[in-house]
Amino acid sequence: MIGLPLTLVITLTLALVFYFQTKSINFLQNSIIYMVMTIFTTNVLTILSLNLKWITPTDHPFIFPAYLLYRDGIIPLLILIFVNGFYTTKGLRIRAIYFFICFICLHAMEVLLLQYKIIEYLKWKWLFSAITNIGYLMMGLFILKMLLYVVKGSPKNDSRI
Amino acid sequence: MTVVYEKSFDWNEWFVIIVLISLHGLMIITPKIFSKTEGIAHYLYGITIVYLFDHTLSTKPWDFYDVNDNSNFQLFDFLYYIMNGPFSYYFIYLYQKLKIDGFRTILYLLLWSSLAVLMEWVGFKIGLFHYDKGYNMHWSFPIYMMVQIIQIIFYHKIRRSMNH
Repeated sequence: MIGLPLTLVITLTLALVFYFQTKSINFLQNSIIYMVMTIFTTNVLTILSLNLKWITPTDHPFIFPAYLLYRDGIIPLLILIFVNGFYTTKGLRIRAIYFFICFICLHAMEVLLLQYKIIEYLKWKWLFSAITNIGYLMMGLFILKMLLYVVKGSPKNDSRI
Repeated sequence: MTVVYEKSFDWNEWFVIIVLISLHGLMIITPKIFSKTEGIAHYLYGITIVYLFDHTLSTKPWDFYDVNDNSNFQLFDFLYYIMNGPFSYYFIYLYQKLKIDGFRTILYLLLWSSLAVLMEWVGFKIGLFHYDKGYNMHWSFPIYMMVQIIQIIFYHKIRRSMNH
C-alpha cells in the first residue's frame, strides 16, 4: 500500500520542481505539451494493457490511482521539466547529460511501479520500456518544435524562445 | 476478458463520423478569435479531459462502462475522443464571443452541461456508450460542469499570462 503515497509524494515534488524551474516556454505552450503528452501516454499505456496485454495495471482499486498519477502526472511533468530545462542548458554535452538524467528518472519510476506492483510486465521487456521512455522525451521536443513552427506565422506570436 | 456488444458498422460509428466532420468543418469556416496556440489549447482540452475520464472510469479495476462496440480500445474510440475537441473549442469560443461574465456564467455552464448530457444520452441510445457495468448518467452533469469551470479558469489564466 506504500506505492500510492510514494507516487503522490513524487508527483507533488515534480509539480513543485516544475513550478520553480526557470521556464524557457510560456504557460500556453507548457499546457499544450502537457495535454499532448497526457493523450499520448494514455494511448500507449491503454493499448499495451487493454489490447496487447503486454502489461497489466493493478486490480486493487485503492492502488490504481498511483497508476493514474504515473500516466497523467509523472510522465507529462517529467517531459515538461525536460523540455524547459533542455532549452535553458547550453552545449551539446550538457544537454546530453540532462537528457540522460531525465531518462533515468522516467525509467526509475517504472522500476518503482513494478516494485510496488502498481503495474506488472506480462510480455513487456526493459528494453521496450527504455525505447518508450526515450520516445516520450523525443516527443516532448518534437511537440515544442511543432508549436514553434505553428506560432511562427501567427500574428500573436507568443513564443519566448 | 473482452466484452463484445456488436460487430456491425451502424449508428454509433456514423454518429462519430458525422459529428467529427461537421464540427471540424465548422471550426474551419468560423472566424478565428484566438491565436493559433490558444485555439489548439482549448481544442486539446476537450480531448484530454475525455481521455482522462474514459481511460480511468472505463478500465479495470473500476470499469464502470464501455465505449463503442467492445471493451477494447479501437479506432472509433480514438475518433470519438478527437470528436470532443471542437466542443471544448466552441464552449470557450462562444464564452468569449458572447462576452459571458458574472452570474450569466452560471446559466452558460448549465446550458452547456445540459447539451453535453443530451449528446451523451443520444450516444447511449445509439450504442456509443454501454452503461451495463453500473455507470449512471446522473454523474455526468456534475462532471461536465466541473470540467467546464476548470476550462473557464484555464481560459482566464491563459489571458492573464498573455497580457504579462
